[in-house]
Amino acid sequence: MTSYHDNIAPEIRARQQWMYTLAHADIADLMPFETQLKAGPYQLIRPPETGMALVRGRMGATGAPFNLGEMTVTRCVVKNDEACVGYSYIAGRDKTHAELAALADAHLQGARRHAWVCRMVELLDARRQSRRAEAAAACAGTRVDFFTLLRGEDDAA
Amino acid sequence: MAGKYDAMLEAGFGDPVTDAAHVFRAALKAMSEPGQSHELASTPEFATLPGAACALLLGLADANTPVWISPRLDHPALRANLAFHCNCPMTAHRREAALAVLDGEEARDLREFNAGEARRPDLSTTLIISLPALESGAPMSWRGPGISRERRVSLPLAAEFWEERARRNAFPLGLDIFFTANRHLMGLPRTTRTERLEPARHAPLAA
Repeated sequence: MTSYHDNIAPEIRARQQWMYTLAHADIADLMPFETQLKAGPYQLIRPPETGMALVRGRMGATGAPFNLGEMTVTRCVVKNDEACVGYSYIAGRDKTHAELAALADAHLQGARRHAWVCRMVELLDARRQSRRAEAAAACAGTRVDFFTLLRGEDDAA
Repeated sequence: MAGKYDAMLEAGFGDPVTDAAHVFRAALKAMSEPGQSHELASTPEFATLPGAACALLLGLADANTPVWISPRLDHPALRANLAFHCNCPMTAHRREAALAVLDGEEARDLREFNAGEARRPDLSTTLIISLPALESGAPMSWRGPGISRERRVSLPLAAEFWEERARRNAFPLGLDIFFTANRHLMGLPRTTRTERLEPARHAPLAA
């Protein structure tokens, strides 16, 4: 069975991956790269702006879509000196984060892509994963397992 | 990896909310004082389209306003930027257009632009006519709402344009027009009566 993800070109998948990492990065981890990201001249095609986006979902990922609610989103588009256009969509209202993420996306499409991946994306990804692991460990300490004799999902089997 | 579409994008308004409000204010002022030239402070330029016309589109066009672009001004970069900044649908049919952009040469022919209908005269097409300058044409006298007595205007436009406009002007139906040149803007609503001044009347008397 082929899923949606199997049909995506590898370069698009790579870009989705780094945009995800940049959007999820902690601003404190991103700030050390600010001077490098802003080193060359760049143009704000769409200055950082904050708005609302409607989040929709499907029950169990299959049912009819319903409106889950609205979330605050900040977006930004920049064009760097290599004429690469970088986009970012960030949860929350941090305009600095949105601008840095868009700049990073622009640089990552340019000639020095590999250097940026090694220097920045991999580090940000490692930080994100360690933060996740810490949170998971903290939660695991208070975890309660419920044992029941009969569970709904067994009926389907 | 940068796409062809991406490479054509240019910056829109520096401060989108305030700049769009200023443009909207200038557009209202231009329409309420026909024949008066207004200067816009912030005007981006997309491809072939000069400042004030771009600023008007950025300020007025949105997802509910089909835009028609004339063949002489059409450019892929203009379309890309309008799609990106305004998210407006583009139409190939003059009749469907809420906003139409054309130059002075093309304004000789206003066929099929929507002059509205008796029940909804507000659904008419608003024309944005991009000119090299707002003067240097044949002198005319404009009268009507928003003008205290008369206003002398000399737009560089062919006589055919004024005939075409008159043909489509049966109040309350008609076309509202913005003239733009670089960063300047002038309004000509359907209510303005225009009259060509005979050159002989104003030329100094021959000896």
